[in-house]
Formats: sequence, structure tokens, C-alpha cells
Amino acid sequence: MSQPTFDEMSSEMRTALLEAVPHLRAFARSLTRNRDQADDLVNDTIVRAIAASNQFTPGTNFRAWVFTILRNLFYNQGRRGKSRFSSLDDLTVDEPSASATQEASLEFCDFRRAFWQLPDHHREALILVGASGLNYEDAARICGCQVGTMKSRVSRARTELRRVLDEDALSARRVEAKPITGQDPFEMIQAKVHARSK
Amino acid sequence: MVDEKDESLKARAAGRATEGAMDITHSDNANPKVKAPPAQDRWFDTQLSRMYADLASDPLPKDMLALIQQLKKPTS
Repeated sequence: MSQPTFDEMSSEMRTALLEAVPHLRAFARSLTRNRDQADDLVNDTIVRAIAASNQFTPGTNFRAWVFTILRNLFYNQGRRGKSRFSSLDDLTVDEPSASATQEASLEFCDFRRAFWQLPDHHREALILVGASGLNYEDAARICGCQVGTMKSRVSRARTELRRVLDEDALSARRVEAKPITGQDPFEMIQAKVHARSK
Repeated sequence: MVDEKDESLKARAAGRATEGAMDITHSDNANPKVKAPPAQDRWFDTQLSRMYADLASDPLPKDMLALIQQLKKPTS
């Protein structure tokens, strides 16, 4: 059986695939942690989805179907190992949108820093269920796990985020509490006593 | 005499309790990371949606644009 081409794809499927592209890019980015690798992965996913379009079951979730293709490509092509050694710079230099207030931007930076520290499967669970709008059943199907496992991953991811953010806040408070003069605290007290005794 | 002392102690304790409650409210507003769990979950969802939107709306690379153009072509 020959594989379908661009021209043989139904217009509904083309529209669905076009609508899925931004979601695929966000999901790919969360898996690869690298912009270029993510875009290569999305390109390959689009080509694969076109070739396999006759395997899609109408009435099922199209986005979940293309997400499954993308995830399988990622794990089967050894991109996972590659991404571990790749630069994460493009994730850390992204500027938050200019419309946000400065405090909100700082909060957002803290959140992103914490998010990228999560283990792969926790990050994936949050992106699928928390952000891309998929339900637990579809997310579990994409990741090839039980619905209960997906629920527990989401819950543990949130707990882990909370822990990382709390630690960040704690270390920030420690930095604030440090004497800005760089002087030894004992010397500072001695200097104050000396000044008062004059 | 004893009653008066009790009353003043009660008033001081109540004052302290109010101060404490106000402190908690103030610190909650100042640092969103120590909010009660439901509020913090909402905060997570907001940040997550924002990050997802940022990732999804990155400018498209040329090769992907070409693919998308092909998809946009009307079927014959």
C-alpha cells in the first residue's frame, strides 16, 4: 500500500495538522530542551503524520495522535541522549513578554527555571495535561502509561515545582540577608560599640 | 483586680493574634511562592500556560514554513 502524499490528504486533516503545529513545537521543546532540535523533530513529525494519515482513526483525538508520533520519533531516534548534552541556553535567555510587570516577569523567570529542572517525565506530564489541554486518558495513551501513573506524575511534578520554588525563595532570602559591606558581622558589631562609646 | 489583669492579658493576646494574622496575609501577598496550595496551583497554571504560549509562538524556521505552505495549498 503506497503512503499518502500532501495532495492526497483531506482538507480536514490538513487543517487539523496546521492547527497542531504550535502545540507540537511546544511539546517538542519540552522534550528536547533545544529550539533547533525541537523544530527538526516537528518537521519529521509533520512528514510522518502525512505519510501515516490513512492510519488515523476518525473521531479520535488528532492532536493526541500527532503528539504520539512526535514522542515516538523522539525516543526511537536517540534524540533523548543527544538533548542531554545539548545547550540549554535558548531556554534561559528567552525574554518574557514586554507587557508584563517587572514583578510578574521575575515570577515567570523563577517558574521557568524551576520547570526546566524537573525530570523529563514530570515536565512532559505537565505540558500534556497542564498546558496543551489534553485529558489524563489521552496524555497516558501518548506516554504509554496507565491513567493513574499520569495523574501521579502531574501531582509529583507540581510538588517538585513547589519544592524548587521554595528553595529558590529561601536562597534569595539568604542572599538578601548577607551584609552588603562584606564585613564580618562580629567586626560590624564591634565597630558599632566602638562608635557609641565615643 | 484579678479580672482587670485577665482582661488586659486577653486584649494583648488578641492583639498579638491579629498582628500575626495580618503578617501572614502580608507575606502571602508579597511572595506568591508561599501561597496556599489552591492559589499556588492557579499560579502554576497561569505560568505554565504563559510558558507554553511562548514556546508555541516562536518564529517559524524556513523549512517548516515551506512545509506549512504545502499544507495550506488547496487540494486538487
